[in-house]
Amino acid sequence: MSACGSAGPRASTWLAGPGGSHHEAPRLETKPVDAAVVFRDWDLRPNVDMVLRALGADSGRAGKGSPAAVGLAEEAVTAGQGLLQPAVVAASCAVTGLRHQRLQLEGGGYLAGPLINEHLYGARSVVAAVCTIGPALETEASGWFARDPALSVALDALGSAAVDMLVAALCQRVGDEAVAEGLQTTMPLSPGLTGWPVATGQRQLFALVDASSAGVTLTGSYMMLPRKSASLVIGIGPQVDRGGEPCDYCSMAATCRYRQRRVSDHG
Amino acid sequence: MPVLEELRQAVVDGQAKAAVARATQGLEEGIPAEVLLRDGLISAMQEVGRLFEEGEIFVPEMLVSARAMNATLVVLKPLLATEGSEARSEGKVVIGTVQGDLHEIGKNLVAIMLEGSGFEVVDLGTDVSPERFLEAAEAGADVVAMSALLTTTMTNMKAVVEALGRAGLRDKVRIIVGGAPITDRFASEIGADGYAPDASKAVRKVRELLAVKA
Repeated sequence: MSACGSAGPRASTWLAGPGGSHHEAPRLETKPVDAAVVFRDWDLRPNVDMVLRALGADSGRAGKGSPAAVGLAEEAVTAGQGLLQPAVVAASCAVTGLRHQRLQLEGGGYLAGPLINEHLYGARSVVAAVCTIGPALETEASGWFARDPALSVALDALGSAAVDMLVAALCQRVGDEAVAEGLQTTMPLSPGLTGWPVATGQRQLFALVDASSAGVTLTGSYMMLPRKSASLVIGIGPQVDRGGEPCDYCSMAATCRYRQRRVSDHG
Repeated sequence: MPVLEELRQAVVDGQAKAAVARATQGLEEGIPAEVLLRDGLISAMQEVGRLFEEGEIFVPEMLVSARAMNATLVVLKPLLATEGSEARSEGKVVIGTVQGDLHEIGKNLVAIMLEGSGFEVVDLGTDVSPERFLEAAEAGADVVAMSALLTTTMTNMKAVVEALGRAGLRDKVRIIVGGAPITDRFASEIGADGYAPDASKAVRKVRELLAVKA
């Protein structure tokens, strides 16, 4: 475990590090990782359009799909909204150096890989986070498969939409704090994107964040449980690479129906 | 027979209540359940697959069509047995997500579409070991369908192909693979017979493979 500090949603607490060249970045009070705080104050309300898009519907006509399809999405929202248990555990880590595609962090942790090198070279600190909507929705979705496969799949899509919203909300909070401090943030980088393999990325990220405190564990194949979870890192600094979006670095970018039809909810 | 066309259209539109009503009407008019199944439901799902591949409809529409079909099957199944004309299976497909991988939605979509197209589907679930795939194939399968969502688990597909080969089943069972990181090239490299990028194409590929086999 590294000695990164728990990050939090209060003013300046997402930010850590030695400070920018033109601006003294606020320092996070360092706490042991095992004292990580889990943030549960997320108001997630995925709507019917988001569920339809997560199911692969054409975003341009998501709300104009067949009445039966819209009805299915409405059923999923009604049945699943109350099962969302959003939680984020995050650590804010100061960057101490970057060498040979390896971003060294205060306390001994590190992030490494071509993607890290490409996007975090200007970062003074990073926020590493694991987000989940908990196990209740996916348990419900699996339970429905034998009785009503369509509702099962729609509930799963609600979960995907909710995780997307949670990641977007986290990025927004971190970004807002960074802007208030005169800093910038990178796009969120997740293990599995091109240039940061799942296995190595998850090992590095889970060494920084006590994901178990949010109920998230890794399987032997580096899959997160609950399945509706996301792991990511955001770079923060006075001048960081702000270009791109995660889909640009996905191996499925050319063929993904979700991407082709996606309307960004992330702003 | 307009009622057959209305049944077919109700399934294509995903209107479960209307589909059940038209099937009931068809039975009252003396149309055998087998005909309603074949020319109403299965024919509708083939049309749904075509519309999906042409980008006319998307997964949500496909799902509600399958839902309408399932609701209608509840009415028809007892009668199919009574008529002594149990729905003839297009073939038996054993499907599962490979060992180490717990993702199920892609696999479930393929299972839904295969069933809707008249195939018998044995769903082994997720995290399925090569031994379980082999056991299910030995029990009698025409096709083994494997899914994986992770680059860390897709390699486990090869172990299943090898296990089927060692058991002498490779000439009897066709193998199809799919999932986010899977490509046609990967399918060839591990010795699978086919790859499909989505549920509709998976049905088409299974049909194609079984036709080749026949």
